Amino acid sequence: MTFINQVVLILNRDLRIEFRSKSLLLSMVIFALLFQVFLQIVFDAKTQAIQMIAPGILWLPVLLSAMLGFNKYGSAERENGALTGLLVSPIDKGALFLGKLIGNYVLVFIVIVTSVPIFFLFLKQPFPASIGLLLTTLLLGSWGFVAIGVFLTTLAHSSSITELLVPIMIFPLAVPLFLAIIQLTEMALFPSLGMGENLWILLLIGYNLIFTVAPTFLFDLLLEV
Amino acid sequence: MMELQNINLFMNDKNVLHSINLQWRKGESIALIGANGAGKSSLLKVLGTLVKPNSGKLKYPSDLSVKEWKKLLGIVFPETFLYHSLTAYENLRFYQKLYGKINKDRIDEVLKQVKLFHVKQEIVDTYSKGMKQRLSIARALLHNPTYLLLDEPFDGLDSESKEILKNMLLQMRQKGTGYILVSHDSEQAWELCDRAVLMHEGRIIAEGKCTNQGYFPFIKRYREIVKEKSS
Repeated sequence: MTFINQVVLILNRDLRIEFRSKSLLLSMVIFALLFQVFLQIVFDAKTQAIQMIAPGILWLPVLLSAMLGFNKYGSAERENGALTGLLVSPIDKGALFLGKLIGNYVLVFIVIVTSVPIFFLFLKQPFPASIGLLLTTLLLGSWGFVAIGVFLTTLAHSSSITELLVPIMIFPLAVPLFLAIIQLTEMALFPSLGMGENLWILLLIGYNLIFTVAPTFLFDLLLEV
Repeated sequence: MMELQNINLFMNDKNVLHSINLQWRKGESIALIGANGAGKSSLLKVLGTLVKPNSGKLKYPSDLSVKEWKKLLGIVFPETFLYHSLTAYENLRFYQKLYGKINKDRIDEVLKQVKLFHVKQEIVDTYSKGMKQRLSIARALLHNPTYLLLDEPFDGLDSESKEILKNMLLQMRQKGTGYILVSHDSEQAWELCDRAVLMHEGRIIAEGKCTNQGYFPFIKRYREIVKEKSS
């Protein structure tokens, strides 16, 4: 079985499990929407004032929803020792990582699709000046965050404090990612505010490459007990 | 032949396996007998590549790589490794693909063997404990393993299911599939295996062939050794 086939196998299984119950996906989407509404109430300010914090408000529900997903996504594996079943099988552990990464990303993508339009609707934001840049930032930024989240969650699978470990470890590691996505989102929403978008996009691509390629090749070694 | 040479394993600073030497020939069935905490399950985990020993050497058959060894191995542990929100068929299809062998007929065949064919499209969560255990056995047999690790496979099974599993093991033994069986029921394990290995406090303390009349003298000897070591 080729590496790609293994990735597809893990992805199919995860999505089949998730879309059968839909409980995690619904929780993530509802959480993101409610959080957007909550932010709208808290920051009931004039459009000009909201510009200062708009990128943060756009990303916060998405990132927190993704966090919600990291712990719950793949819980079926932990409950019945199914991860052990994978570890004793001849599967390439890199394929396991990539399959789970893509599966998790699909869920976060659905959250973005539902949450971002609500941001513009509720917060009375003008249509983004650069829709292409905004989409690129959303797609690349969420990929990077999901990659590091899946990486840490799988690494910490055998720990009894996985739920605590991941949030503590993810934020320091994601600082470069946060800097890039906030800068790029600001430029996409208000082009007059910033410059040098190419540099930030390069940083984002570099970050994604590191946290996608390195775990893919190192997972066999890292999951060896 | 699979060979363990001078294996030592520490878990939480406790030496759970002491200088284990064991040879497992192709097609040989071994009963691992011992009290709770004797190190039987830890030994299976080492053989199943789930735990890496702190010292010692694992020599895989024909100098296979770990990945190739995994392809030959079937595992039944107390955890079922099943996805409860998938059907029995979906579970087996997933595991079959994982081992790179796609054969729908084989899935139906093992489901019939464990008497679950009629409920193959039902979600595993609706199964009883015994049915899940039987499905777990089907999962382990799906890729026709040459070596099988069985950790308390009879646990949670009703008498009918125990009989089914017992017959399956006897059939596998005839076909030349080797297995290592850990069971609370040492008499039954004796009946189903070629050789018995006694473990006590992480050590192999005795070995013997499972002959018809040999069980009671063997167990008597085991109790004497344990008594000697405890006193």
